[in-house]
Amino acid sequence: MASLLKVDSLTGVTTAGSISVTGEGNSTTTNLQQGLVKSWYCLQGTDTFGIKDSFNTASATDNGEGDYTTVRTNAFSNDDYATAALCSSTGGSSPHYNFTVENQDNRLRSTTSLRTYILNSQSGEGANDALDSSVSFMGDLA
Amino acid sequence: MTSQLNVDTIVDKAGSGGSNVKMANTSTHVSDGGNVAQNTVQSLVKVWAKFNGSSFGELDSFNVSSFTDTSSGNYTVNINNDFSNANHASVESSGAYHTSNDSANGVGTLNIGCYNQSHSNSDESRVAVHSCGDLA
Repeated sequence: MASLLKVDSLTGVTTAGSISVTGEGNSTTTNLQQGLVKSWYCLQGTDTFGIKDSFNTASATDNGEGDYTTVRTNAFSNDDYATAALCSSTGGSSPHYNFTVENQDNRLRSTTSLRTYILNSQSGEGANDALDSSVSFMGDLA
Repeated sequence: MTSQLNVDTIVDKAGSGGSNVKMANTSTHVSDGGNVAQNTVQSLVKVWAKFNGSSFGELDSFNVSSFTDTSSGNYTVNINNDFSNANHASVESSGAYHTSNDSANGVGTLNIGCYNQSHSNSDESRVAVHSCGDLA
């Protein structure tokens, strides 16, 4: 008989922030909290800059062409969290192909803030706005 | 009435199988450091896929109904359970010189473009994508 358990909050007994779940193959367990994406966002860079959709994202700042800083609402425990990023390319008769990266010369990575750059690899890696740019964050929250 | 369940491990009723847990979209979890609580459902990756863009075929996926080989270096991943809006945060990677989101995603689609060093569309044998957002 199927059972249904209704709760609003899950908390570990031994450690509040550590719950194990059984893996899909039924042979291992994995940590629930560490398996979650702790923050994600989709930004609009061209026309009117703004957050299109997000989770655990307090704000986004347009520092200039292709240069954005976002801030987390709930901070990570350290600044070594993993990020994955992607932006749209600009099409048309003179297409550009862009990356979303951290700039080593002017990087900002803290437990709450991340500065990203979209670079145009067809024009000397100059910064360019992109219609959309998305980043997801994995790591341990404080 | 607010309820709280304190557990160390979640498994199904039989105790040996998978975790057959149905979770409300308002459910929260205590953070790794124990200082804050966040929504659990919003933290989940809602769709992921890895496929071969050269011979074209799925390698593995979650919440994917089908793959479309649109043209050389251009692919569409069709989502089974759709997002509530098209602004989900999609991230893609491949062995290509560039991987980008050329065409706007839809509530049920992820669009992927792979390019070579000449900035031309080119098929790639390993392409991976995931997306976060709110399901409908």
